[in-house]
Amino acid sequence: MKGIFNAIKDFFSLIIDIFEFIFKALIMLFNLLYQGLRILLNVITILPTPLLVGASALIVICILYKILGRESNG
Amino acid sequence: MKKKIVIFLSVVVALLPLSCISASADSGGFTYIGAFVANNNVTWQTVNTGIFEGKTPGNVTSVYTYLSTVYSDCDFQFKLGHETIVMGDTFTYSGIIGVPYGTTQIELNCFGSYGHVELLNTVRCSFQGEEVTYAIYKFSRTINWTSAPYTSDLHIILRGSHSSVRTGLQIYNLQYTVNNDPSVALDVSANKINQGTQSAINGQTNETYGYQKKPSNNTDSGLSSGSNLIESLTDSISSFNSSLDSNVSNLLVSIDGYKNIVHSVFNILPALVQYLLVFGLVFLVIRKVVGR
Repeated sequence: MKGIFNAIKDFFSLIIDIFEFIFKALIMLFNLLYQGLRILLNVITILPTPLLVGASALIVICILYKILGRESNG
Repeated sequence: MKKKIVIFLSVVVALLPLSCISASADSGGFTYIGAFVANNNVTWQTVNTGIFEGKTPGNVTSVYTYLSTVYSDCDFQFKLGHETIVMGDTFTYSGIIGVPYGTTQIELNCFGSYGHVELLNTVRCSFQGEEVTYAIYKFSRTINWTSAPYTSDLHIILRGSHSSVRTGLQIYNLQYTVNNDPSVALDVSANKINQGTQSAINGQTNETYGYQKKPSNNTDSGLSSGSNLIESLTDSISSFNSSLDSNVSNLLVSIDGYKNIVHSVFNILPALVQYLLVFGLVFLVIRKVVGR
């Protein structure tokens, strides 16, 4: 009987360990993404201000162009 | 008809081991072994104190049985004595010893160098659902009593330095005569001399008789090893997370160090060139996008 109880206990502890592992792995992935964004933003901020303004304008223009192009097609 | 032939052949095959053993036991009358094998079942008679005592005429099938896990050498002693024995009497005895052993051979030593022990056979029997191998030894000794005390020791040593071997001792068909007269009653006692470090002795009164089943590791170790693996993976993820945080912080600090360099290099250029550079980049990108 003791062996059966031990086996059941080991089984459920294994299941709990698996869930813990999955959650920790997901947290690790989000953390990885977050740290990547931090690095990207930090790299962007070291660029000169005119380049940042131009890049921002470029992004706005591209978005507008995309939206306007989609509306004209529709 | 076929059914009868099959039954007949089955009986013949079943009785074959009995005839072999009986044939090998030349002193005859070893039916106990035959029953022992044929029943394929061990009936253990455990003596709680480890002592068997009795006064019995010359032929006993009494069994002294001890089942334990032997952690060290275990000495068993049979004492045979005769109240009215006189100097010059001839005393002979013989019998069978069954020693179950597991994975490791147990050394059996009877009478030192004075007696005769031979291995008769090894048999496989079922005990508590598990197959047990028995070594069957035949022993005999003849003593000419020349001095007191008028007792003789049958000394058996089980070498059990291994920890997980379930063993026991079974002596049966003990036959002894004084001056070839089987009707003489003798004092018989059996005692376990060496208590040693056999922890199972004290727990012998429970229903397992000291029997310790080997754990089945198939499922248990699989689950526990899987759990250990998952735990190690989780630990490695945690350590990776903590190292990632510290390493990114160090990287950001070093990136900040380049900020002044980039700004100063860009500020060297005239303002017009800076705006032209930015405008050129924006224009090229827009041209590329629109042109597509």
